[in-house]
Amino acid sequence: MSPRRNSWIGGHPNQTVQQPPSFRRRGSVLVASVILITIAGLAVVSWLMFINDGARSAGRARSQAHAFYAAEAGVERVVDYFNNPSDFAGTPPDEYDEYETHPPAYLLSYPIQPAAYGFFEPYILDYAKDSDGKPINSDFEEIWDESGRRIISGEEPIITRFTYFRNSAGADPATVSLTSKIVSMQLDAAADSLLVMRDENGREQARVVSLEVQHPSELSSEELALATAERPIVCKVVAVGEANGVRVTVETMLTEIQSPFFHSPAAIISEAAVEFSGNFNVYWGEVWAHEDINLDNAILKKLPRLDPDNPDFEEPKGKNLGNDPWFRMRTEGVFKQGSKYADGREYDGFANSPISKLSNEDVYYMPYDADFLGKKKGKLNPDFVNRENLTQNSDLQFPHYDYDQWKEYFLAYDLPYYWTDTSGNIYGKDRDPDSNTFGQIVSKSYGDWFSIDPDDPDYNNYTDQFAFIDSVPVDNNGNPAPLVDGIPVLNSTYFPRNPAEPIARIPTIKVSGQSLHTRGVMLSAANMNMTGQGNPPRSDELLDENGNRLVLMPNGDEPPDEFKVFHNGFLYSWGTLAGGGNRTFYGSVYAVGGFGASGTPSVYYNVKMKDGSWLNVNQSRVRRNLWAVENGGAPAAEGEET
Amino acid sequence: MSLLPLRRAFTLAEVLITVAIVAVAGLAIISSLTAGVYFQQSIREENGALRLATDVIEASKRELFRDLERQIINPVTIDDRGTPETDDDVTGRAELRFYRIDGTEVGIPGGPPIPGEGTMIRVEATVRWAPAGRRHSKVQEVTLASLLAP
Repeated sequence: MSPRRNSWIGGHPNQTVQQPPSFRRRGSVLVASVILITIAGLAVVSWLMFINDGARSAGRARSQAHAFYAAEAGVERVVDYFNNPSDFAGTPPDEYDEYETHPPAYLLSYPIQPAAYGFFEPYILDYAKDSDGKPINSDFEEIWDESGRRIISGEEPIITRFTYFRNSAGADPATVSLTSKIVSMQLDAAADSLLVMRDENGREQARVVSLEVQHPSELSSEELALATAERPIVCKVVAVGEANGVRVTVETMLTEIQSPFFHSPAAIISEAAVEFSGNFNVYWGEVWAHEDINLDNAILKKLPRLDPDNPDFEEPKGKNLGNDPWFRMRTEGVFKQGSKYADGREYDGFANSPISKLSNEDVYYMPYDADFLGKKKGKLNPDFVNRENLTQNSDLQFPHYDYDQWKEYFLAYDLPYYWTDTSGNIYGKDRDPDSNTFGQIVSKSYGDWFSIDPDDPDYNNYTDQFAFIDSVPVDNNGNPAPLVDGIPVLNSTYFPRNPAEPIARIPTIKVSGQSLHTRGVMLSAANMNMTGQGNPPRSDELLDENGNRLVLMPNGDEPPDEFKVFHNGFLYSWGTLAGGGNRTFYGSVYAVGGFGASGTPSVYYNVKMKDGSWLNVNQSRVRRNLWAVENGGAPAAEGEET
Repeated sequence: MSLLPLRRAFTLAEVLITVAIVAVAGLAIISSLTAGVYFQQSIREENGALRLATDVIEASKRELFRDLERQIINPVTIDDRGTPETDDDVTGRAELRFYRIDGTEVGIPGGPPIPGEGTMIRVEATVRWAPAGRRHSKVQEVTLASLLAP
């Protein structure tokens, strides 16, 4: 036995056992390892917690995105409601049969057409009735949705679908009645409930949990101050989306964009000159010209100049325009005949025009001294019985059709939109060549576009009655910008086509020799040259969807003589309208760049175009403006856990 | 004769226990680190995919006045891994699709067009990608959906 060992291990019984230093650190490696491992483990755990936080954050971001787009979908639903009220026909929903719905209690004072938007028209939901018509229970307290959340309180204009009715005691819905409350109409009549967004497997991703539409009267003064003259506020939409418990609130102001006002006060309107030649006829309406109207004998001789009992009376040649109580020619310039004033004097410019343009009064032009009157020259004044048919006005109220505004309107609402180039080629909105000529485009009338057949399923389709024909950008010499795949290539030497530019730069579309018979509004940024008419239908063949005649005189009577209708509608060009042939229009034609005609074209004015009632395009629409997003959700409803 | 005191060595058992503890703990830590790295990578990828899906769907909302149609963007970069090189990027495929409310897909070349005014459209942006470094992992996907009122 080693004494040394004994001295350490064994030793004296009273001696304190002392271990050598290395023996005192016995197990220290293990301890150190454990400590290190513990530290490393803690670090890893911390790191994993950090990652986990990141994962939760990512998950929340995902849920927020889902909730945001659910809320967005809710807002879009409201936009759709305003812009397409027909999608929501039948509101309040059918299941409200047990409640009486009353007509709107008041009309709106702000510029939303009540007929188009019933959104804020309150309906009174009366007591539920029993079979005897007596209220079942007048102690109604609240309305709950299917999740048990209270959704209607008092007269809050919360828009949602009423899926459950029960009182606070959970009574059977059938026994619950609704006291007379004024609530806004329900929004969501077309779907089963407020929107629920699902993935392809049907799993719910997110849902709209609240959708409120606030009437302008409920908005704060700060919010109302956001309105502008151009964009009045229609309402404020507050949509709350929820995904995995994460709520996102989207608040959006909806403002109104009014469609450009469509009307035409005359059968023919020219913001430049008007040239009449041949047998051009105008019936049931007026001719307006900003500049001179050049008359020819043919049209003037259609106006009897003397009473029938006057010994010098002569029968009008051709149709008697004097018998047309609505016919009148108005010019802010002068009436001319060739190079002379129509009264026979040499034309020497504005200063010597027969009647000053400075007068605010309508003045009648009396061509009593005109050469074309022949032997009647100088004898007609003051017996010219139809002198009011030739009127000089100092200020005609031309309707203004803004190129940019209409273009935006057509593009915004996906109405038929085409391009043309200087050769008259037509390109569709998709920038692909659509057809070679305008005539071929319009000849789609045999299909569903511009159809005049009331049996056509798209006969009442609003969009099938419009066409906007734009023209390509040009340079200063009128040369069009080159097209690549139908898209004009713009650079500093080209500028977008503006019809206000010289007309020489405007391309011309030729329509000729085709048996076109169309209807609707055609707005053209190109000049239009039309000849020929083919064999369109007769005026008594044009019927509305109820079988009623479309072609009527301004007094509502049927015309004494039927005629063939080349186009039933409104034809507008920011360029010129010209051509010949015997085409006949029912409606109105309007040429900013001037109007010329030869042959025997005719225009029968549709008086419904005077106030735009001919085609209901004056439908206001809403647009989203000024929106805000709040992550974290809407204020909790009463009784809901926060 | 050594003047140093006699030292007692670790027993085999001690060594084995220590090695075992260290090994187990080390393995746990390493596997946790590995899993954490993958997890962090997957978070980066998901965030990237979510951002892409948001971009795609927002772009569609800005294009309302133009022709909408199904779009497939392939490849798209989900995660650039923080490097300027592109060969290590995680890439995927983004799709933008449009549906009628009844579920009919519209805007497919040769198929029914996207209806214009008067019809609500469901727009759906989906980003799919194969996670980096996990050969056998299934393809990941982020889908965002909303409604548009053209």
